[in-house]
Amino acid sequence: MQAHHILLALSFLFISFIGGCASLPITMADKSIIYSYPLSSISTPPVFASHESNQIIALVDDALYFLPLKNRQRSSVDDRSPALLAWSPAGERLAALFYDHNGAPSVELFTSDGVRISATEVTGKVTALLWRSEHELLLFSNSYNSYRFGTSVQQNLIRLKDGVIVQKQILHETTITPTYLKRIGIDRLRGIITPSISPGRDEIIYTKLFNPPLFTPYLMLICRNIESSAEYVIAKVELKGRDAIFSEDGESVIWSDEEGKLWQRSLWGGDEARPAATAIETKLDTNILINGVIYGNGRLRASLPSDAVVRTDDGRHYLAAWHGNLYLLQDVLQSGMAKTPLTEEEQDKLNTIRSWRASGLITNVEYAESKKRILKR
Amino acid sequence: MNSNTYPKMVISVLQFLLLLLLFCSQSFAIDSPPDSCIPCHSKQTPASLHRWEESAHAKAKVGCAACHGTDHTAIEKGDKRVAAKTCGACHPKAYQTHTASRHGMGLHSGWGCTRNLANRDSRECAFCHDKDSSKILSTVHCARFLKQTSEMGEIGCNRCHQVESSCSSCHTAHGTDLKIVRNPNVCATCHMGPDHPQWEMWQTSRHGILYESSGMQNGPTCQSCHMPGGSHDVSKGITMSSGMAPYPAIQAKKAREEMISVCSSCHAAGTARRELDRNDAVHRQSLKLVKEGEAIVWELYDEKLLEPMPDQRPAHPLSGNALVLDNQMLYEDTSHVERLLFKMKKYDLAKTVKGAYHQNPAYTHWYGNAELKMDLIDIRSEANRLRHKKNPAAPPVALQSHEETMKIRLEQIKRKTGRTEITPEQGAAERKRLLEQFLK
Repeated sequence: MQAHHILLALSFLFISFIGGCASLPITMADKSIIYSYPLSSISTPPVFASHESNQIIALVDDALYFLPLKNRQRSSVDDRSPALLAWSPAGERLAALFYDHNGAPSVELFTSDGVRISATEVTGKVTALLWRSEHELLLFSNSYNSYRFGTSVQQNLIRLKDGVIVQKQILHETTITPTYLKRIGIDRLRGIITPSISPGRDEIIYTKLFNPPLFTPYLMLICRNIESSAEYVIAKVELKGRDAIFSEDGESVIWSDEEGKLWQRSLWGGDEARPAATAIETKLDTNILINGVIYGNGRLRASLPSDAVVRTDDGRHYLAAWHGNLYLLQDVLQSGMAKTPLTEEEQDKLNTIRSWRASGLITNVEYAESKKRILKR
Repeated sequence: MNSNTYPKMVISVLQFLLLLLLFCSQSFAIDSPPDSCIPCHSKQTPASLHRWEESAHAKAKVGCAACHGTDHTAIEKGDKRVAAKTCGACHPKAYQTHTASRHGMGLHSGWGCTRNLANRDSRECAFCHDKDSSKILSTVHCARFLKQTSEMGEIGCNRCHQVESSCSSCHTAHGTDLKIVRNPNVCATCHMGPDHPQWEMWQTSRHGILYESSGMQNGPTCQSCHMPGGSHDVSKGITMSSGMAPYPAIQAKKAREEMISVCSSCHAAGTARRELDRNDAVHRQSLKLVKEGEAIVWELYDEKLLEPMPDQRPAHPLSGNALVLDNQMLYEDTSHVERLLFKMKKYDLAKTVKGAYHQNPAYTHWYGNAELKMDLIDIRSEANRLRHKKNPAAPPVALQSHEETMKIRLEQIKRKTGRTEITPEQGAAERKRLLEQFLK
């Protein structure tokens, strides 16, 4: 064997070693075992979405790909790179947000076979895509107008049914002072806290930005009932706050402050905000993911590197993007408590009384009693 | 006195005199007649210059720069209109009294932000913001202003409501002759027309006739009663809000005593009190008629019978798709029955009530009270038409889905509880019955 062959073999071993070292580090908090498998390379910043039902991961790696979990052979869907992706609740449709070369956004819908079924032009900078049903998609977008005294930011909620815009609502308007804008940069405004949707897909959590003259800018964490447009102020949160999610029963919201401490508050006139660690130990019986930390069955199960982007569709199925690779986290899949799904009629009835409660048409006590009767059947 | 200290004292006195001279020369430098302005402005704006030359300001050597500043480019752009606070620097008492009164209540600044409305003039920002500041000067918003074009907003709204921040609204620009502001016609610019014709009411009342025939000594003017003694507090003695809601008892009692004190300069206090009590009764009776009209419109809304319903027409600038029947009510983009109620509330209620307080029988009765009652007939008739048109046979709510029907009834309960038509306990019992039906 010649010397350069030996050198080549050593180089190969060295690269393999380095590659092995780069596997996703997970800090375990208890005896649970979470295996992580590298699935594919992925662009930076990572854009991906997975779905438990169709077992297909949509990901961007300088183009849009579908990666079925059964064979892990990715196939190209579109040459362009979308900025956001979201699977519909049953996994039959994928929503992808594209920006053209002029920066104009459009939302395109694909089937799970990768066939494009609609393309809709929208306005503003889209910050999130959330599905309400197989047919209805919610878009959060911000519009900006610059003036001498500051930049006006309008936060909009756009509702699309089967790819057609049916409603556009202004969620909030504020003016950002030039000083603050210079400090934060306009891109940071696109989603300081990512909006999320309730388990019944009838309410959303989002944040309103306030920048009053002579005061420090802050965010208000808001819950909004989509049908009634009623809103409930959950808490004033710091700009460095991160995730906010609904609890599994959709009756409270959990969020983290800038120090990573978790808080929880019941919705629509319930209790005051309280530290959430206790609440998680006593009330939540499923997995939740917040700020890269997975809590399962009332305990902190694992935490991931702070620069990893972690997503879950249903509290059981996790994907993590880290340093240009996409990982599947296994065993977490089985650890969530099995849920007894509501029938469509029960869910509709529940969402109806939730919208009545949000509009102040029934009291919290009347709501709780009615909900108990719906769930008993 | 020590002989050594004498020259020192002389030096000190001389120093003081020198400083005084310096100070005076500085003052004159600011307030001296604007020699540099006169050559051009005697040709460009001769009338303004002439009015200034005849004014007390000219006599006191208050020059152009004292009010307008020296930035000619900004003046030309219209950025240097003289605000009330500029006048307040030399007339602090009048300014403070004015800003604390209804004229200074912030109707002008804070009409509502127009920056996201289509086709608006960006200079409108100056209505509500100081230059280069996002700070809002007032939080008073007006839906009717927000529906206007830039031009209509400026002429039709701001020309009156700028009174908050512009002394020239009454005093006119450049002149200082008190004859102008003592003439009741100066009030007529704004206090006339269908929504609050106080000037016409006064002019055709005994007070106005006496003024016309015998002068100010015998006929009281607007200023005599509402600005007694030259006060800038135009709210003195008024017992209701600008939307004609009666003030709370304690506030009203104090105001009433103030007005009786004004009336007492010509009339016996007892006569004034009896007359004002009668006016109060007309006020209450008229509000009751309007409440009845309002209740009918709410009922139609509850039954989803308005044509169009609020969610089927352009959103209200302040309240979106909600039905608005309060002071932010619109006269455009509404249903016909709301338009009738608008006339009732905004025009005819004002004519009746203000007609009574201004001692004008024709306004109180024929322009006011008769119209109010006829409005109510029109509103009832329109309600009947809408109900008949929608469903001649069955109650209109039966047309809705089960869930929609429930929602409409729950909304009715909420409103009735809010309007204290039913007690909270009755509301709870009604909700319980409806929830039972819904969950069956």
